[in-house]
Amino acid sequence: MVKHSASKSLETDQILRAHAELEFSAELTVLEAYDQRQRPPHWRLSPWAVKTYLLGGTLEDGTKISPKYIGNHRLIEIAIATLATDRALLLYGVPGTAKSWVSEHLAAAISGDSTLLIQGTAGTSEESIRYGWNYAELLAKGPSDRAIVPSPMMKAMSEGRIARVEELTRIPADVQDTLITILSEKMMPIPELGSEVQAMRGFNIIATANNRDKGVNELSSALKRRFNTVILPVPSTIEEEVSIVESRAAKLGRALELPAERPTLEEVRRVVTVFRELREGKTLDGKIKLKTPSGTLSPAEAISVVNSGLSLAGHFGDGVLNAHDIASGLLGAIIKDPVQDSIVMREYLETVVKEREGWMDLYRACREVI
Amino acid sequence: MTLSFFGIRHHGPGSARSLERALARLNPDLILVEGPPEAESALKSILDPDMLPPVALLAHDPKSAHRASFYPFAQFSPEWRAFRYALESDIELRLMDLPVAHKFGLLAAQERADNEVEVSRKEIVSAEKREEDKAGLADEPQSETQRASESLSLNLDPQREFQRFWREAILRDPLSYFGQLAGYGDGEGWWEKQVELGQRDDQSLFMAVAEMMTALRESLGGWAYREDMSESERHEFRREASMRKIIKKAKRDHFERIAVVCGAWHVPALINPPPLAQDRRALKDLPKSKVVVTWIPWTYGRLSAESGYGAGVISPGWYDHLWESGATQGALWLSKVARALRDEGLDISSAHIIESHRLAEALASLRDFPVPRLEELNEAICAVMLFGDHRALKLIKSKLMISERVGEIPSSLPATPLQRDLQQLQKRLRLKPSPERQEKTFDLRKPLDLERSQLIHRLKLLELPWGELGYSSGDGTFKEHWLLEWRPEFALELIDRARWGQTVESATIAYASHQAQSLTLSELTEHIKFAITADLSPLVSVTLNLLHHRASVSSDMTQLLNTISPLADLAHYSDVRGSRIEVVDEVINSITPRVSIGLFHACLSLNETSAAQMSEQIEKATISLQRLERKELLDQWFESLLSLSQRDSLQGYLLGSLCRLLVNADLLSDTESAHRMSLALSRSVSPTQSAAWLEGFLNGSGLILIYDDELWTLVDQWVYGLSEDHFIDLLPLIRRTFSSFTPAELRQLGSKLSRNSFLSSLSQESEDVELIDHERAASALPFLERMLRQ
Repeated sequence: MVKHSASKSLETDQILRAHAELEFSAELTVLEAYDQRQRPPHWRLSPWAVKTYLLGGTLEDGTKISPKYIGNHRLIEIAIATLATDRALLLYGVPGTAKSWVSEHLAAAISGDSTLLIQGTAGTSEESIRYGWNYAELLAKGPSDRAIVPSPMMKAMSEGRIARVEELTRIPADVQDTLITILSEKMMPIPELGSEVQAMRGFNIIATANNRDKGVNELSSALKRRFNTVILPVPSTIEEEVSIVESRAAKLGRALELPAERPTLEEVRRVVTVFRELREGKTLDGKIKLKTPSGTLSPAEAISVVNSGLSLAGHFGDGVLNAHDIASGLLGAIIKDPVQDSIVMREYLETVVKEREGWMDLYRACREVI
Repeated sequence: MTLSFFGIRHHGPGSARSLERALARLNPDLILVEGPPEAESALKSILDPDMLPPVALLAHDPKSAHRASFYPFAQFSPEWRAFRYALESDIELRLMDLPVAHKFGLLAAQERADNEVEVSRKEIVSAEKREEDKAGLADEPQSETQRASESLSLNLDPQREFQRFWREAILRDPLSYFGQLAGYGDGEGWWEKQVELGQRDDQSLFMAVAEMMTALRESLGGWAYREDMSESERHEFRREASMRKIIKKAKRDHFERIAVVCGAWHVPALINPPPLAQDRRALKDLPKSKVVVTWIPWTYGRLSAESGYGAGVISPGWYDHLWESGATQGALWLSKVARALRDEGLDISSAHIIESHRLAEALASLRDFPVPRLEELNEAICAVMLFGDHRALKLIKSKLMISERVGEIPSSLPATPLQRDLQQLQKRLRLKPSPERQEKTFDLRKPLDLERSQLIHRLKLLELPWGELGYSSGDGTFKEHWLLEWRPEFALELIDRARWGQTVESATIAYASHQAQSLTLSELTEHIKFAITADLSPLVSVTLNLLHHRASVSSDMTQLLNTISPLADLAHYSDVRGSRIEVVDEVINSITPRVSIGLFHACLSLNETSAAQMSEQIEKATISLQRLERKELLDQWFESLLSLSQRDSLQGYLLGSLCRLLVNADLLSDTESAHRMSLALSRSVSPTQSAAWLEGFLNGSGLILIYDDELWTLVDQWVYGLSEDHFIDLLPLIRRTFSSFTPAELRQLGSKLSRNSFLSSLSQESEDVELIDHERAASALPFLERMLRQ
């Protein structure tokens, strides 16, 4: 997902991707007006309203709140309950399971601001978590409050908002440990000034991490202990996954102005079926077990298979998504390891796809490519 | 006289607690509990100190052991509490339900009727078929039954079906239905909350339950007799009629305060009985059968809903905890969990427990519950202790949530049906268990001996190794030689196996199916063989299914390959025997293509020994597949062998034997095989590889060399062209190859050699060119001849 700091002065419809609090500002305002429940200090909404915002629902006056997360509502409840206590939240999961998406919407609903973001990379330094210096000011007048350039974390602490840390495990271990004091003491010392920033109520951290690249920078157990972990799984039912893939693919297709028609539900269902069966290692009816390939096969990849199929169909085909448009994208997504995965895929083609009624076109299309 | 009704939730600790309090308050002089009246005499032993729940009442028909009913009780079952309360305070205790004797009698009648229907239907089908045959419109019988079932399903009203589905779901646990309506996970949460919310007066809670049930059942069509009742509804009516009858009798017996304890569902039908005539009609002239009731030990695992028990609870372990320490003891539960997780090697600190507790409480309040339930606690454990990993929760699932507790019963109680079944079998087959070693020889052609052998095989599958199969001379003999030795501890193990089934047959099937879950692929193939010798076709299909699943994910091609041949034989011979096992085909159809695809990788970088093993396996599989005569499968198989035989990187022996297989299957023409051989024996190939190829190709039979001159010449030329060093190196290998031929073949080869065209042509040539030293050449001839004659 594109992380983008758009300057506020730009027209909203010109922005490639608007912040959650802007895109859904109408929903947030209505919820705020109707929310009668008790709100934790500095929370824009009560936990119940945050839940409604994320999972969707209908308010008393009939206003519809669109669901932001389609899936297990219990996970979202755990996430919100965690943020309501003083423990930090770690969203964990394979790539493409809407971790950052959930994190953004949680921050938007709770603090009304999802921009206090630290992107974790191998080069993330301590300054970007704590504070930097305005060197001109520092040289001219020596260390002072005015010379400090606060990090998003520091801002979140002093304003009592939610700070987001993306890809926590990519941050070098020594820099990660900066978070320990912040999380346990709820303060950030500034030794140069002999002072400190104390976190206001309402401050908390949502971190996301990817559990596929294990051992990048494994969290120290001291830090791990300060997070409650919620693993966002791949969708549990095929209907859920089809609806996610279909709605996202249609939305993205619109944004990229692809010439093809909307994807047919049938084709989306086929892609999702192939993904699910290979991911779970058995056919949907549970009758045949299968080997699983090395890739993750997340919904995000299914979305991109459908999208690339759409663009193939639109630019080179007859504008309607069919088996041939999907085949290459499908194989590309599944065969990550040329030896092992191709055996897996060939077995799958021979034992499942070939036998399945109405799938012969997909079988042929795949056999042409593989 | 007062009648008090206590509608309980089966195995609900909340209602057990309420019931205990309410009973103590009421102080009744008669307690009626839902349960089979035949079991009344067995209830005395509940107070025996050796009786530790979970235990179950087992009612069974001594004549046909497959008819049995279980009534399990845990220490938190309200019925159990009621029993104990009555027995401890010396209150008259009676059971009320449809007597099991009638239940079994009805079942037996039903079975007979089913058989008749089956027979008559077969007749109809065959009659129709005859008709159609006459008209020249013969159709497959399969489609006949299909049509029949289609017409059946057309008669069903979907609306009714839907209602029935809900009815049955509600019937299973009506309080959970209310719980779910009120937004709780199960009935326990709902009950707890009602009690928590200050309904301290348990009697009024039970009255509220009765009112709710009345409303629920009225909306589902009431409880009076209707003509259009389904068979299960009719059965339910009979049960309730019997309960009413027993209550009526209690009233006549002049008791003052009667407490009626039954599933909440039945309460309305007991409070407001329908006209008496209906009851009389329903209970009139019911068939009867003999019933024996015993106690057997039960486990929490089999009390859990997972085990398929209808009134099962999701987590007996949690209910046990609730019963022992109460709902507010979340911290205690978390400590237990922490302890169990530490045993599994996870680092869990006290801080973890505190944080989990806080998160569970926050979650509970977000979901509007006064106290965290198991769901909240589990989710908190996951998020705080296990870093979101649900799988680790499974570690404690069987230990804590379901709990591994096994019940015990006093040893003085009568025998289990399994024991009795075995005794009967032993008596019938005149096979006395004796602790001394006995030798027995069974002739499998005699029915009695065959049954004896099957019994011992079955006990072996039950892991009661009564007999050891001794040496029997020769293959294909009809004799089995056994060493029998009955060990006293078998009696104990038999009691343990009692929970798997009532007869040796059913227990073996259930137990061995369970054991099969943890077997490897090759062990499974063995298991199937055992199952066949023990004549247990259900077990065969279960194991085959498992094999099917295991095979699909296995990447060990050698193991997969090894399964083909026994399976194909099984398919072939089951055909012959006429008892077709459908699954085998399916399994072979799925395994063979997999092996065809993966064979190449399995054949890479093998040493000499494993190459020999591999080619032996491939040959076995090929022969079995050929015997099956399934063209599509065979084509695919040979196609893969063909492509395999062209990979030069494989071990020589393997390549040679593949080539031979293909030649034997007429897939390689004579010229092609000669071409292959000349390539394999060409100079550029290392002599060792060539020798190995030759060994693989000839593998035990020289016939091909006798009849195919071209091949013979090639071999001859190759040996002739070897350098001295190579020849000395390879001599043992070549000798080994030739020594496996039969003497007759060798003789023919020898004589072929003596009138050998090549040597004579060579000698003619040499006369012309005068290049060969004849004396030296002649000195090698006796040796060559000896070598070939051997």
